[in-house]
Amino acid sequence: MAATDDEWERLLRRRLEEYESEPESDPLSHILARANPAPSPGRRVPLSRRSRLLGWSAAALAVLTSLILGVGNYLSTDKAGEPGSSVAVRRLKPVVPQPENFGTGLPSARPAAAASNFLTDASGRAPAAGPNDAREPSYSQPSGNRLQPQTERIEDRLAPAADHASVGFAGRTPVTPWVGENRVERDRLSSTADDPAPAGSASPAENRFILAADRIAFRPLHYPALTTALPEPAYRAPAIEPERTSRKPSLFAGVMPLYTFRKVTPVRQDEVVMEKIQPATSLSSRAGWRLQLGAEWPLSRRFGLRIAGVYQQLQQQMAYTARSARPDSSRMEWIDAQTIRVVPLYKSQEKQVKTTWRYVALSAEGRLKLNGGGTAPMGLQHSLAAGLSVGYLLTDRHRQPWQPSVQASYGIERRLTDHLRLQVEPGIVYNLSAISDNSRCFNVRPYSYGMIVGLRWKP
Amino acid sequence: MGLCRRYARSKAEAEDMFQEGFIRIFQQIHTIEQPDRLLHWMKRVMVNTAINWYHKHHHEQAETDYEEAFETSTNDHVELLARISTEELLQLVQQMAHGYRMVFNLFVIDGYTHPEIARMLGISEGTSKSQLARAKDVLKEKLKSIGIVSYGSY
Repeated sequence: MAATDDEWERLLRRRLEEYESEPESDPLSHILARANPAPSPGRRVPLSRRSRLLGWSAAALAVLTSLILGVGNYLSTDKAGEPGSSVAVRRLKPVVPQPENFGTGLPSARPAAAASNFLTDASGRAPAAGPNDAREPSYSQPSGNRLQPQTERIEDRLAPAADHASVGFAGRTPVTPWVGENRVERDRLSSTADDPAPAGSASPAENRFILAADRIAFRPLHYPALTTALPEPAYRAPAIEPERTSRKPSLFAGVMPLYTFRKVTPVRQDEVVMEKIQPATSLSSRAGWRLQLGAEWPLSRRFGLRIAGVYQQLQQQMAYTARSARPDSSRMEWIDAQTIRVVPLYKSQEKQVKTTWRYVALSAEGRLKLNGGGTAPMGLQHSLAAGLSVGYLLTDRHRQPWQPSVQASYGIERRLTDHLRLQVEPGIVYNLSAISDNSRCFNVRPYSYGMIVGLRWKP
Repeated sequence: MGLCRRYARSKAEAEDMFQEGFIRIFQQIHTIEQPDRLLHWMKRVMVNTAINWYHKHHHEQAETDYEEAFETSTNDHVELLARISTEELLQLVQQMAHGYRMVFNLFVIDGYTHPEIARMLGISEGTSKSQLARAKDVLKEKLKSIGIVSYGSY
């Protein structure tokens, strides 16, 4: 038998060793073309890996950009909030009615009132008012119908001063509210009350006042001292209320019950064949949850940036059958004297697996307000949010523990109190890369639908 | 090209293998130290190309064809070998599973030893021997099946 085998092998070698075959197409051109290829720009990256790299790069870039924008905006907001900054007051509402003698060469009542309120002596007390005004300052709430009579009273009170100060103010239009220096105002009013000067001649105090007014006239309208100097003892003039967009971050916390779908792909293995894959569809086998805590920075009136820490848990259950790739046994049947039929036999085993994934993530997403309903007492504010999360798997030592995902949601927010709002946001979370299950037999790419229910606290 | 036909599963794959082997030959031809052994060196490069091809394209695939070999008590396959053409014989070799075909070609046709085959394919010597035995059994069985068909057509 051994001799026969050797002889058989020798026959085979003789037949096949010198076997010649000609290629069908012209191989030389192909060989030469491939032997001297054009210099490639770099290593070829497979398409799947390229898309994965692209996704990771986009996620990292988005998170980085969001962080830079958010922090930069927050810092600039802090700087804008400092006293004296011109950015702090965004829009001023000049609701103070113009006095009747505006442009007549007389100082308007409002600046005079402001100046009288602004006066303090060296001891810090309010100075003595004119003879017609012995009242103590009261900071009652202003009302529109009180403006006119009080303006007239102030004009009456300052009429003597206006008479002899008209030279100093001739030709000057008090377009800028007065924010006088204390000494100048004191000099002026003291001269008004005690030392009426003849018309046409300016006292030294008035000259100083004019000089001071020249300096003050070019101060910006929104000089912060103005807002503190405006209240008048008898009434509080309608303050120039700045409409300030709150740039302080609001804090939010929410929980999101999830219902998870997934794309299951068996891992190709040499020794095991998996069949009859049946993922469980019951709610208990697919439910998960996502907890997020974070802060939201308003970047503009309608757009904000959310940065949150996330803890997420997903699970899946599935059943499948596994068998060896090679048959466990064979059945042989004699067809005739020279033919045998061999039927391979396999033994299948049914398996049920339950996998739970837990991971923590850092989430960054933009939130666009669709309406201004949040400013109404009980209004609903609608918004759209979308962003990215980069998570780290806590369970199962996976080859890729970092899991990027994208999420999007439509939010409805209701104002509960001045500071507290209730958020309800149906949304979707889609994992960008696949996770393996505990048995490492399947790659699973989950995508989950859920609803965030949370609270937002706005300071 | 004949060598590539033996190692490849099809003619198209053999042509690709052939081109890749010749590209290697052109790229490395300046390294030859003994020009009189050029043909031997080219054959060795081609075999290495075939092995690389096997590792690259077939090694991770599960063996899907499980030819069940059984002991033959007759010597029909020896007689049949003399009756079939080389092209038919080559087709039988190509029909074998990748692992069997590689070991069979390396050992029976190209004369490599089992330790060399084990090192080249990254398998153990025992695996090489068992795969060779199974490959020979499978080939004998295929020869017999051709013989049966031929017998029926007479």
